[in-house]
Amino acid sequence: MTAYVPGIRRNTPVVALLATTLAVWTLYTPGVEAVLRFFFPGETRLTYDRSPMLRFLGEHLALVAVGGLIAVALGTVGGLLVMSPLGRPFRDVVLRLANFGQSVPSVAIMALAVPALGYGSRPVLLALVIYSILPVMVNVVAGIESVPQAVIEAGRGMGMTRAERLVQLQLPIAMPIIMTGIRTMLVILVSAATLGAVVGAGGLGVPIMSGIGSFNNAVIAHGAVPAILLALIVDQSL
Amino acid sequence: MLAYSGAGAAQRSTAAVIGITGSSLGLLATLALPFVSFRPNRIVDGTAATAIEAFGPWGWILTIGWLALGALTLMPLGRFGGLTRGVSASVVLAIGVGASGCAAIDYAATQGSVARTSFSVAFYLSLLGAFLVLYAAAGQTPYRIGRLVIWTAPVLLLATLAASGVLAELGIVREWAFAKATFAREFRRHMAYALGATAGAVALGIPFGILSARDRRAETIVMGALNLGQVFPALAFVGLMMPILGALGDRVALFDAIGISGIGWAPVFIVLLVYALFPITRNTLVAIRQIDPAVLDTARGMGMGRWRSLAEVELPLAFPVVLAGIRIALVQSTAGAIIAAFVGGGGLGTIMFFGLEQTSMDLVLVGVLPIVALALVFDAGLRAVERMAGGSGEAYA
Amino acid sequence: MIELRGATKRYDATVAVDDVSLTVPDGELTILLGPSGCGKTTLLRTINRMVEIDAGEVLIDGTATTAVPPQELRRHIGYAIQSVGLFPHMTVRRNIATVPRLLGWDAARIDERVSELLSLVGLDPAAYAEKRPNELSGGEAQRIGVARALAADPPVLLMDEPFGALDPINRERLQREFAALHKRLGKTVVFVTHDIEEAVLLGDRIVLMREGRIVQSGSPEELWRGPEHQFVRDFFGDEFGLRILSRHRIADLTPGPAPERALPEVRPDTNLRDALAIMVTESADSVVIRDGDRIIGSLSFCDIVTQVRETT
Repeated sequence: MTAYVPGIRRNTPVVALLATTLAVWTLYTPGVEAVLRFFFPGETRLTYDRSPMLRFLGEHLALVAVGGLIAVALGTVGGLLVMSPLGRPFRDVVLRLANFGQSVPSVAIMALAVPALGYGSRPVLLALVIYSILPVMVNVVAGIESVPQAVIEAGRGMGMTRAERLVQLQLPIAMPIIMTGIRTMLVILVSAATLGAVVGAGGLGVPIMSGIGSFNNAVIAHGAVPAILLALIVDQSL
Repeated sequence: MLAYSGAGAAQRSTAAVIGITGSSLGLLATLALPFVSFRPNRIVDGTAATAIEAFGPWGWILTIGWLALGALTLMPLGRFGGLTRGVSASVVLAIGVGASGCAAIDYAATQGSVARTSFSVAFYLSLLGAFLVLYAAAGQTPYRIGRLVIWTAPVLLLATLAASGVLAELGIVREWAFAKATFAREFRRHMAYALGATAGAVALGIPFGILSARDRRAETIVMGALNLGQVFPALAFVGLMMPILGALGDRVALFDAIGISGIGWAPVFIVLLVYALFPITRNTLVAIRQIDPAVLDTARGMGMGRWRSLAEVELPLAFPVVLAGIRIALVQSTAGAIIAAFVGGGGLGTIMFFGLEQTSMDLVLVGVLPIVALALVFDAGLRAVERMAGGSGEAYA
Repeated sequence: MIELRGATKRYDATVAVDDVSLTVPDGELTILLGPSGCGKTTLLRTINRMVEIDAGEVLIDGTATTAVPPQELRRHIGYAIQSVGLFPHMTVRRNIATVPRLLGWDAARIDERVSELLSLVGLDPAAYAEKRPNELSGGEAQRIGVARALAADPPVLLMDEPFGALDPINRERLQREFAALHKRLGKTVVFVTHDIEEAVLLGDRIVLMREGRIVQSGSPEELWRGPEHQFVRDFFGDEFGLRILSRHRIADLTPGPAPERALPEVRPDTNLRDALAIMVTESADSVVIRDGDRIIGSLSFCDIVTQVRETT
């Protein structure tokens, strides 16, 4: 098995450019101030200075990474379960329920989770996981269903066990579709994680909301730009 | 909706499995987990109580109701089996809600009007259980009218309960009653965001889609831009829109006149519009591309010009898929409009924030449940229209 | 030797295979033939337990197929289906190598075997080993399907309408090549088809089925000379004789002396049907047999027709 994972369509030059920009923005404050001063000449306070931007980026990445890992694990297991003979009766219902989950705003789940999980990153993680299980699961199911029946028949006829068919046939063939689901999920996660600021989870939403609250467009931009860059990096590197 | 899945042995057993899972879930939750929680006022933590603890004899009736539902799922019931099971599930659900309402009334009588009775875990799980039973029942009902009955029964029963006043002391209802005027206003604004952004996306997206279908370069530009827009995190996008629109509002008198500025409805509207453009444009593009070239060829061969071909052949054939795109956009915008609350733009998110500030989950629900309900209604409604227009009623992509 | 004793398979109310008893001799190509729905594919699949029978037993070389786990059984039986089912994400090499890898062969042995098999099915190993299934034509894919089925050198080969999805020219070519391959390898083959032409061309014996039961089994000649039911006659039709003719060659018959007049020529290995076709085309009543640069003799139309019945 080569290191190439089918379905990853990395666009290296663009990613490198975006990552560099993000690094500069996060680390080199005088540069950021210069840019912001140019765009927002009227503002007296240009950057969010109560904590370094790097910290928010770190919190954001942590939320996305942990939420993403849990969602991928649960989504894959869920998708495989639903495709197995045991779970097959539930395939349609589960997809429909997951679809419904998308119409509940992630912020609402965060808010409702607060009494049980308190403020901070835990309600946000719950919301992130609930919200992003759907793309993963739908794509796992779609990916496995995209495997031609003839391939399964041939594999079975050759004496492959169910596990061997899954690992050697179904998952590799499903991989491009599954990767699309993971990519979509991660982009959703970056977006939803910005809202986590509202329940005290930190992340890049903090400077954005601070800027909004104090009518300071420069501070908004200070937080919004890295968030957008992060989302673009995730989208372009998978 | 939720098509009849057939009468074969496999489908029957699928329905039975889902049905029994649902009724078992409802039974176990009702028996073992807290159904409601009582709080003497909003600040103090509540005391949770199971159905039997909280409702006395009605708690037992509810439990037996779930048991009976389970039995109904397993018994062969013949032609009206689906209908019977579906309506029974609605009745059991109504009993749960009604009993909660009565318990709330009793509790308020002892504690005064600051007391709050809220639904707890068991209620939500039994809601899920009831949904599963309803889903299975609908799958077993061959006639559309039967399925309509199954899905509207819970709503009707709920409306009846509400009308009878038995729900008046429930936490959610109390919070809504207090915030009635605000709620009405923000509900209207929320609808305006969702419907307005979708309408705008239809007006722009369909022409963009047609253009992209015909011209590969246009496709690259349009879909490239929209793809990019989809990736932007919502809060950051709205945040950046504020200075941009603020600047535009300062410079362009017309904009200032209609109220486009950095503050208020405009940034949210633009962002929702951009998000909504993606499904509509993409679906239009794909739908037109998918049309059998032979059909277009025949149309041209008959002497139809470009515009006529578009109007009489391409758009009608593309319609169901485009409609699916509109549905996705509308549901997306309905959920997405919650972001308006983050920038002072109103909408149901504002109510949710009030609830957060006042640590009242019931108030949060007053803000959130209508969003979910609207999304479901829009989704079901548009799927029905799609089916009438010849589509499959299933989500595209 | 494959033996089915009283094999029965039911699906809900229908009986797909109805108390079928059959012996498949070693080394022969046995055809399961019949109209759609007669149960031939189901019967085939009971042999490698892709379908589990409800009653009866299936034995291979005296051992019941239920004695080992199904995966184990199938790794020693070749299986080639109409839609081929080549694994789209693997190269041709890895496709063919599948069962050997499952059986734990070492890499060198596998590589050697892959090249050997590609040559066997008429494809250049250097050109084809690294190709992907989506780069192959229908005929090429089917050949690789056969190669894959033969990879671990199984004693038994099961084939389900393998050439059915090909165009007529490719189909005929592959049929002839497979007939030659079978002669070379001598494996026990059970082959499902609904195409009479194919059955008569390839089969050492034909098992004619209908509605889950065997109507008659025997060599094509036996079925031709002694059909036991009207169904057999009707199924094979009036062209049966002509088709049988294509199984036999000029060399199988006794020629008479070559007359003086000009006659069209055939070779000893020309099949009898082609010989008749030549006579019709050339409006001749006889052909003369040329072997290299000698004329051996001649055969007339009457000779052929009368001798065929006696010698086959």
